Amino acid sequence: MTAFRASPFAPALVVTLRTIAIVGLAMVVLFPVYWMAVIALTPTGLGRQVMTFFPASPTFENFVTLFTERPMARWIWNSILVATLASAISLAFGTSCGYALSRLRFRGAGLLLIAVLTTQMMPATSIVVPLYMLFRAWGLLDTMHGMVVGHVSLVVPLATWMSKGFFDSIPTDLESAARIDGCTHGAAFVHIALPLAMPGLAAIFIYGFVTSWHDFLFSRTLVNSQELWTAANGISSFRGEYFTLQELQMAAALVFALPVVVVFFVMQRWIVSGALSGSIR
Amino acid sequence: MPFARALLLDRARPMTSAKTASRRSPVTRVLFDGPAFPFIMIVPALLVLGFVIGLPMLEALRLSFDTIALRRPAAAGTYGLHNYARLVSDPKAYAALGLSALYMTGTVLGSVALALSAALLTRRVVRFSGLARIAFLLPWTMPAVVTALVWGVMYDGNFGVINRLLDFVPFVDGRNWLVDRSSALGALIVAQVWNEFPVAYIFFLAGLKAIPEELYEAAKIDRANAFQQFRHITLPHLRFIIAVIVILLMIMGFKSFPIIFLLTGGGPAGATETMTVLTYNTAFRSLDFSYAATLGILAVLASAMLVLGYLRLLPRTGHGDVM
Amino acid sequence: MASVDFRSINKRYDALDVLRDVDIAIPDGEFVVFVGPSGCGKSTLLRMLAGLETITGGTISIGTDVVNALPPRDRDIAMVFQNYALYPHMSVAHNIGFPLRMVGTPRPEIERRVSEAAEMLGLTPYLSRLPRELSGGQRQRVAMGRAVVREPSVFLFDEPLSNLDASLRVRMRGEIKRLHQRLGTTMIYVTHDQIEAMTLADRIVVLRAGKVEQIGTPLELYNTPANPFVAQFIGSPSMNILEGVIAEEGRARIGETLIEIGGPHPGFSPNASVQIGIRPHDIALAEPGRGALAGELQLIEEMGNSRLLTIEVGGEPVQLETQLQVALRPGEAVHLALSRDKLHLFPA
Repeated sequence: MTAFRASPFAPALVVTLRTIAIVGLAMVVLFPVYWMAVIALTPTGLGRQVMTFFPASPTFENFVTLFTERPMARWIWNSILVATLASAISLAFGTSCGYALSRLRFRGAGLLLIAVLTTQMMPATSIVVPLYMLFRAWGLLDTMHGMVVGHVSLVVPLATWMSKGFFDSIPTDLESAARIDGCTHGAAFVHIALPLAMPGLAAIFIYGFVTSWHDFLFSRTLVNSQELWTAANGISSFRGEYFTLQELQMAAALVFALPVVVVFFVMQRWIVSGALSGSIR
Repeated sequence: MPFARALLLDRARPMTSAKTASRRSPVTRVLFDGPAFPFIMIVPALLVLGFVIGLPMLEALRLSFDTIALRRPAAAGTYGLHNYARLVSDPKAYAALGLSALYMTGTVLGSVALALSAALLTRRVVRFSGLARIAFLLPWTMPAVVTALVWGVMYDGNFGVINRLLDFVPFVDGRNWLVDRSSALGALIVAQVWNEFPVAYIFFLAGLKAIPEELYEAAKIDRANAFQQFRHITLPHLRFIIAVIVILLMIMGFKSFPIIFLLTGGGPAGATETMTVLTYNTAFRSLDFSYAATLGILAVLASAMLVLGYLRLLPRTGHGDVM
Repeated sequence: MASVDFRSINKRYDALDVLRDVDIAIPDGEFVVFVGPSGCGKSTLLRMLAGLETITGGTISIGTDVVNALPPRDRDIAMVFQNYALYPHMSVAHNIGFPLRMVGTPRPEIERRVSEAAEMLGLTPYLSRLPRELSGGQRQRVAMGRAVVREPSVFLFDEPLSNLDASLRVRMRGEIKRLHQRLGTTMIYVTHDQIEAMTLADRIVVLRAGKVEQIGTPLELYNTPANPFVAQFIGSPSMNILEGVIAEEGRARIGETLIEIGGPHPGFSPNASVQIGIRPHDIALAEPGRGALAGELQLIEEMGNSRLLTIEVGGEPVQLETQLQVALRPGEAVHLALSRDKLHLFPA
């Protein structure tokens, strides 16, 4: 009998320990973000002298400096432009490819799938070297459209793979029914599969946008002129080799990260399910 | 009985135009309803894929046989296997592969441990679990560049917050984390884990949710304690998810570039020069594009092996059911 | 309205033969049910007729046209799917009207025919709802409405009732039958449920492992099954099959017991092995004696109007359905009399 009766103290103890563990772990994980905000709010040049865990005299001067004395607005605009174009182009072509891979049986589909996945999973450094040489030959280096093309190579495999996943989740019977009801295969795609995949396609667009927004390598290698930098490249330039402006850096990092954080938490469900379908970054 | 009403409906209906109209032009049929349709769907995409990925990959292959390097400008156009010959005898390449492997191992172990703990703590709705879930997802939204910058500030040798926190810990001295040979790689791994463990966390949370609660109830009735429940119910159910996550994290670790590049650039003295950083430095610092392309091809082959492992696992987990 | 003709149909996936030499001729206006265990190829056959599967060999005709090369939309058929395949992003009205919109029917006519179909199916109050806001039975009606509205020459049903609960299934079954009586259109219906097949069909096609086992009216299949498979598949509870040997004219031996089999049975010579089939309600409990099989009662299942006894005879279970309300208990020795006129003999 006694073996079955739990000690009346154990649950309370377990609950307390668990709460401490949850809160402790969450604080550790959140700390870098918190610290980023603390330094960003510290007057320029004083970041290394913060001796407490709070900003001594909070100020927005770093943010003001970013947008007045540095081309932060320009960089963000570049990022928006490149990410929108690259993601939209990738979505258009990735969707049709993903649909074909999901629905249509044809020779070489399996191989194509592996190729698409490999290109998505391989290090970007592998493709940026030949791309740099090709762009140099074609005069695409240091141009905006060159950046877009580079980012398309980053996003198309992802869009293909993800849209295949979304189309896989739409029952084929729906398109069969549509074909019996008088659609061609193409019309069934347009009338049935495409509208049903819409939420998924929106998620893919956002994923592609964020991928492009986050990219550092292509921006770093394919463009040279400061006024063509995307934000990722721009803010990383604040990390100099010998002297680093911590406060400006952190302010820039916050501004750069914030849109993605907002989008992420607004669309959390879609994005989480997208990640689970095996398509990350 | 709604159908009973059907019996009263007038059966005789004028033949509509519908039946004849359904026969559309043969061109439409051939293009959109026949065996050609897959090609219509896939050819434009293939052209784009070929242009932005296929072409560069071919160029990489060509480069790897050519000699495009700043040191030997006259040798351009000299084709041969020399880059590959150099690769197999290059200690830096072996070191880079080893460092990449070390980096992958460290990030996989760290992320799985952190993510699994976080998921186990927040799997059920308890006090603070909702807020904690948001906290555990937040680092995922941070761009790698931002991760690199913020950890760079925290790792700062003189006044970094990490060293100041360590002042409270007896017998542990602060150090210049990113400059010290013995700590640089570890410091990078910590930053990477922080950035990418949420991916594993999402998978684990979904995997835990998929375990029927009745199993735990049955186990309790069968007198299993908390550890036995974890060992005999939770872990077996998560086995394939863990396998998938390990491969995904390996891929992510292998690809990792901005964090390493921005924090150490491969230094000190090559102590953190992984495959990606070595490729970049070879191309854009040493300006030896041919050899960089060769290193890049090696990296693609390594990724392809990881992808094959991943694809082999996917059908077994039925990733669609994970939610 | 049209006849349907399957002529030496073959279907193979890679190395797997799904259908082998299937010949079925369906006259105009007939209600035909394809029935068989899962994997027998019945759905594949239907989907080939619909144009959703390619045909490896043979020809399929609807009316006088060979349709092998026609895409689904040009075959003038309507199909109701097992999961209904309602378009989730369209209202009930749009779902029903979809086939008409696809062929460019004028709007007023679409509206008229949709409201007619909705009226007929009792869907009028739900026309503006989305499929996910409907119950299973209502979804099923929408799927039927979408099929009815276009007035096809052939209706195809692919296990349309298997997602409904038992009572609704019986009701919808009746409504489908009534629909056929009303419209008189050729209907082809696929199911694995022999009761559905028996109740609905003018003629039943029994399939197994890609081959046609028997084609006939429900009563033909029930009364004169062509082989033990059909015999056991049609009718519930299932027919008993006993192994025996022909002894002499009019007699067979099961184990040590000689039983009367009537006759003559051409094609069964003395000493030939035979499978003797008998339905559970054609067996009666008997006194020990000549021609009675001895067995041991194992299980009694009450069914209300009758009871089902499972009796072990020579190591094999035999089922017996009886209305006799005598006291029996498991383990008892019992004797069985097989009614001579109700035996089905199959060569072993």
